[in-house]
Amino acid sequence: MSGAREAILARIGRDTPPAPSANVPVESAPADWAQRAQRFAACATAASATVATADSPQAAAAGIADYLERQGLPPRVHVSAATPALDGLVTETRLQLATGGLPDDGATVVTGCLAALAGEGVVVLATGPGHAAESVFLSATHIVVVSPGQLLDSLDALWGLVRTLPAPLPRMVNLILGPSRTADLGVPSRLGAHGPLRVHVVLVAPVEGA
Amino acid sequence: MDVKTADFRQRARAALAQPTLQRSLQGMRRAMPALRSAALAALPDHAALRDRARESRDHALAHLGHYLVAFESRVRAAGGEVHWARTGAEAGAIVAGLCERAGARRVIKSKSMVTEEIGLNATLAARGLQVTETDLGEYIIQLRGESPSHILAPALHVSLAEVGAAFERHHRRSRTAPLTEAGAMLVEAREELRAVFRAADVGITGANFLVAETGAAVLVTNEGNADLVASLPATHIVVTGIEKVVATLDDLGVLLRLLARSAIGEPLSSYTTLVHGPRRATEAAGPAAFHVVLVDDGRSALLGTPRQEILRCIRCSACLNHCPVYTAVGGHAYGSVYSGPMGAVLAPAIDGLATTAQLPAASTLCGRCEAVCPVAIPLPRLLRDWRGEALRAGFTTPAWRRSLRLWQWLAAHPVLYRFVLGLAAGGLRLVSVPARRGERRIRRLPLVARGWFAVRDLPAPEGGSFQARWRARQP
Amino acid sequence: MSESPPVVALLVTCLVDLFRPSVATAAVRLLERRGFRVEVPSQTCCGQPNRSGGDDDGARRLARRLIASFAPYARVVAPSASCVATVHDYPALFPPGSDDHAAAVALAARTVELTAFLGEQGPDPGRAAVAGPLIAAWHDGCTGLRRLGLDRQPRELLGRVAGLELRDLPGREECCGFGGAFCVEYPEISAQAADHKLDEALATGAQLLLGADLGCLLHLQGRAQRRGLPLDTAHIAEVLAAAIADDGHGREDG
Ligand code: SF4
Repeated sequence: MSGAREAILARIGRDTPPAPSANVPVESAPADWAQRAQRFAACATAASATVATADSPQAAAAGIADYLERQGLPPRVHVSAATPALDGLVTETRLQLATGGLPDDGATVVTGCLAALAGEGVVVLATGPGHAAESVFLSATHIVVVSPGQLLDSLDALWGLVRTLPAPLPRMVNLILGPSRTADLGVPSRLGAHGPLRVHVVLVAPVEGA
Repeated sequence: MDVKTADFRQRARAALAQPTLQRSLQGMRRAMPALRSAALAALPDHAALRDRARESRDHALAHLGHYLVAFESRVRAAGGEVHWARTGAEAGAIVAGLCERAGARRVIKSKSMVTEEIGLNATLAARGLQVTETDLGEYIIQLRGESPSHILAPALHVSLAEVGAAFERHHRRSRTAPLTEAGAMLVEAREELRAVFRAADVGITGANFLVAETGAAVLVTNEGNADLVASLPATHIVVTGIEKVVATLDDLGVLLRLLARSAIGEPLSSYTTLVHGPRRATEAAGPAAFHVVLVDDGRSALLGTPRQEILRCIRCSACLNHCPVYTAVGGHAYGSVYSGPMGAVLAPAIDGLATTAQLPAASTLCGRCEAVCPVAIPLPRLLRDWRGEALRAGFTTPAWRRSLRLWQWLAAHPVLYRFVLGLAAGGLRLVSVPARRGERRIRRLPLVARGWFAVRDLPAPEGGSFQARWRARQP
Repeated sequence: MSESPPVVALLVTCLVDLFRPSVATAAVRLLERRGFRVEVPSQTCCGQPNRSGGDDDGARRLARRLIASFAPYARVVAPSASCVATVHDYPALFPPGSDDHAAAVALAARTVELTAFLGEQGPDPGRAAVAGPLIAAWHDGCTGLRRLGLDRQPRELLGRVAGLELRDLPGREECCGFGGAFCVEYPEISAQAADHKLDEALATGAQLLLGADLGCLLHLQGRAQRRGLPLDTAHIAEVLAAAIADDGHGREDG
């Protein structure tokens, strides 16, 4: 079978191509954070996620505790993919932070992110020493906190960001739009097929005047 | 593939008489077009994006070797291995070998049409491996011992009651009431599969795209099962077709914007994941081994032929959802893992025309597939090309060949043609019977056009051809 | 009327020639009313069945014949979108640079579907009316809609006919299941598509189903007859020509 590679390449050729097109005919999102946040919220909620804003990481943490209370969920949360946006969690007395191990089914995970995309309502997480993809996919509730500078325009801005990441690239880059769903048990789609049943995104607003 | 398409007609008839399937298909036929067009209308410039999508696929296909080698070197740099397979059998042997290398007993899979195409589950089962599909639809049909009937919704033909029955049969748990409610079924499947996920040694996924620029295998799902398949077991194997590569992340962005909109009328699927190799030294989790198996299986033979354009296909299923034939008979009638217009073009390339010649014939060439295809594949032209090939290779019925030749010959002899036309117009009039409002119709004719009269009458000709009338009227 | 009216050639099409000469008679009447003189050169089939069947050799032979028959005419008009699309496809049958190819390109450029041609002539100055109220549903033939872009033209032409109310079908982009040989080869599938179309037409309250392709119409009418449905079918040319007749003016208006 070692000959398969050469045999296939001989059939399909290996010439060097001209540069591929970089033009992407799409609308760009507004530069203003508040308008972007609005756009993000519209797209994410259309995909059955919930979106809140907070003025600071502390306010975000308090908002998370409120959210869990409202949903009738336990205050215990796993933390993964930590970023400065999660700094408020440790001082929020209403939350119990779980460390180590993977979440059980039914658990809540709180993560930071690599980016959020206003044009798509997508949050993007990257695996690394501080984050394993399964901690999100095994949980029932996924809460994501987005720093002000992480709210990007769209997919294309994400590619720009990925290109600046130091090599090697993260093993997994996960683009997440709303909760897990399936249409295999009929219409309408049902939420929580294998991954989270709930996705709640907290957008931390930039400091006034910054 | 062992499924044979030779009796498409028979299976199509059976499918038309299947109430569950018909309900699902008619529901889809009515719902999907509106969802798709609304989602695309929300784009600022759909036509430009479609042009760009087509261009990006054509570019990658025109330089396929270059981009596959680029992809391969990036996967290797990230610590993964890339394997090449000329045929389905070769691919199956490679995957089986990798499983053996991993000392695997349990394999989990996420939905992959390429692994269906190459019959991978059977290959692995024959080696004593326990293979479990984790996409809910695939899981359902695996329990029922069936093949997918739609490239995105594999269990489209199964009713909720049948899902409940399959779960009751296969899930060992004590029950107080029968399983009838979709929510309860979902909870049960989720629980059952959690245990399977955690116990698996090898995870196998397909790939929706490969990105040459970064070496990414891109997984698109709504359920999130592919991400678990690619994360939990110690070995992750991606099995995919050589045509799936795109040059850059920009190209990927263009195609992603069209994929879910065309498929399900959503801007994006829930999960789009770029996988770059195995776990890093600094990571505590993730597969230690990462393999990509690049499958040719008839694809390279299409390059440089008029049928190359089908390789642009991104498996969105829009052409199935909008097809008058697919939405009448569903996927199983095609007898090939790929169905609908794209399947009727692909199946002869993969399985050979001898057993598949009926598929390109079974189309009205209405062109709606081409109109909705996000990468503008001229499916009707490709179907017609296969018809020509089948005709030349003698894979059509002798009667069909004779009638085409006879018609051509008749039309090449105008005097005779007009005589026969006049005769037919008069003769048909003669055997017609009254219909409503002074019209006339023919109920049936002996020996000819059985297919016509099987389902309809023939409105009677007025009698006499137009050309004869016209010549008579001229001074 | 000027002394030498412009000439158009009528491509009759086989099905009209055989089944509904009145469609061609109507087309002639409509063209004459717009001030054209119509000629009908001796003709047979455009080769569509061969082309669709993958028999490009047979299609090529018939294409050559038809190109020769219509060579003298500046405009060729046909009351069938699928035959016009076949002619528009002729260049693909010949190697670029050949004389045949050049002739095919030229004929393709001169050939136009009837309602598109009438649309090009601008609004009909005369009155058109039917003894109404008549509710009709419009069937968009696939080739007309997607290949030739016929959408607005037939609707505008029928919109000017007093007494006629035109209704759109909700699944207007769906195929009716005719497909030439397909309807004979796969009758059950074909009938399902026809039934969707017929049921939708009846649901709009239409008494009459109109279209611009006789193939679709014979198939739909035949199916309606077999099912005993209270629905008639007609070619758009027949309705438009009858509407002129009703207004009592006729061709001198053109
Ligand atoms: S042929 Fe086009 S429409 Fe059909 S599945 Fe492929 S990409 Fe989608």
